[in-house]
Amino acid sequence: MTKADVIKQLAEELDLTQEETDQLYDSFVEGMITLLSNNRGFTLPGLGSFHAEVRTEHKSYNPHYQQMMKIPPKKVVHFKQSSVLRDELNEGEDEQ
Amino acid sequence: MSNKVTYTEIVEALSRKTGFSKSKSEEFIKGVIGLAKQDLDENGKAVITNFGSFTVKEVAERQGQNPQTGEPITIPAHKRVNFSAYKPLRERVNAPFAHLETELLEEESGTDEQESEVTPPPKEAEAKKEPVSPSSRKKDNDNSGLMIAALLLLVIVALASGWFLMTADEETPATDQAAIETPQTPEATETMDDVAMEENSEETNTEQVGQADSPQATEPQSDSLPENPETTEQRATGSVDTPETYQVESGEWYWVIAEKVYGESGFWPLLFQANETLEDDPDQLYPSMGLEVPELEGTVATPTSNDYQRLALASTMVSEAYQRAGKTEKAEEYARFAEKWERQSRQ
Repeated sequence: MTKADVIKQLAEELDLTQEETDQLYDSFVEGMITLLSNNRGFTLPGLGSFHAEVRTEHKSYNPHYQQMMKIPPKKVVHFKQSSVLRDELNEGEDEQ
Repeated sequence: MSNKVTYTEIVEALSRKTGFSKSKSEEFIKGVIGLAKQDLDENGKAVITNFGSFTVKEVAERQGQNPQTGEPITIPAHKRVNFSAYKPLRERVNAPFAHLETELLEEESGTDEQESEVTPPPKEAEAKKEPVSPSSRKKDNDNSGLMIAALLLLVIVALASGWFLMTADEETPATDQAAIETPQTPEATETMDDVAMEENSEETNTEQVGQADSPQATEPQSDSLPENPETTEQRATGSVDTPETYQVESGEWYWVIAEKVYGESGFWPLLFQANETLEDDPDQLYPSMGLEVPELEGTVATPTSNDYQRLALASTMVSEAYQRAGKTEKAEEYARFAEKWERQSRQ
């Protein structure tokens, strides 16, 4: 589903123009990105939680150079699915 | 520092930013989440454009351990959702570490390879170099020990600088120098070795020069965490006008940063405006936060009327934020600032 689809559908549901929805969408996404780059985590209910964390420097084997490489620290976005979503996805199957 | 922001705060911030009511904002966020979930259910993947994508992964059955009792248990096959962030998001989150690169570790298996690749040429190189070292030796024998040291140092320095120039020209990304530089490097290394043999203490230095790229580059990595803010700050102050992002150090406030990036602390409301977070209190800043630094239309000394207008608007926002934070005095102060900027924008 592309952004255009999402905006079209939401504009109908929320009774807004597509422009307004687009504005909301951009601010929303921009806000989430700003939060994460500022080290603030958050939860989107029903979907999961996001936070940024630092992956520390470590050594690792690079098969191309066939050598050990030093991987510098990196800050990455971490996502954890919400339990609601997990249970919905695994409905009807054995859980836990 | 992983302070979480609540859902309500997100909704409030969105409504504040866009001017829509809170209920509309919440409906919107719910809508986005709903659509993403629907997509996940139906297609096994979903996208929030410009943010990231979600995919459903099948996890195979595996053996696990009960972490409390240590009993082996079977974890049945199940599905889970993976998230992969869009590139711009990844880059912005990783901004504090963006200047770091992966490095080869030289001591390991790498040295064997490098040597094997370098060995063929050295014979020619030795032949060329031999005249150099004996001649210098003859002279040295006549002279005092001090002269020997001085001459050798000169030769080493000359060779080392030549080496630097060569490596710089070739722009090798520090990864596989040996492979690319075979025509020139062996000569250089050999001469250096020849000369250095005579003075053991020097040898280590020159050899390190050869591998200079890696040790130097690794230095900032090893203690990157404390150093990061400084380096980014250097970058910030280095570029003359206005850098795009600024890494906050602990104990810094907006006005300190404005002083640094604009040279004018009174312009801090612009920073606040561009980086409106969910904090109500403008006095609250977290170290390692990345601040966007908006550019001025004019210069700091002579802002355009548009700049003044933006300052006025920004000051109003600051004032409102102070109001919400319950700091009425400051709120009034910045309301007055806003008026002042407003007046200046009309001049």
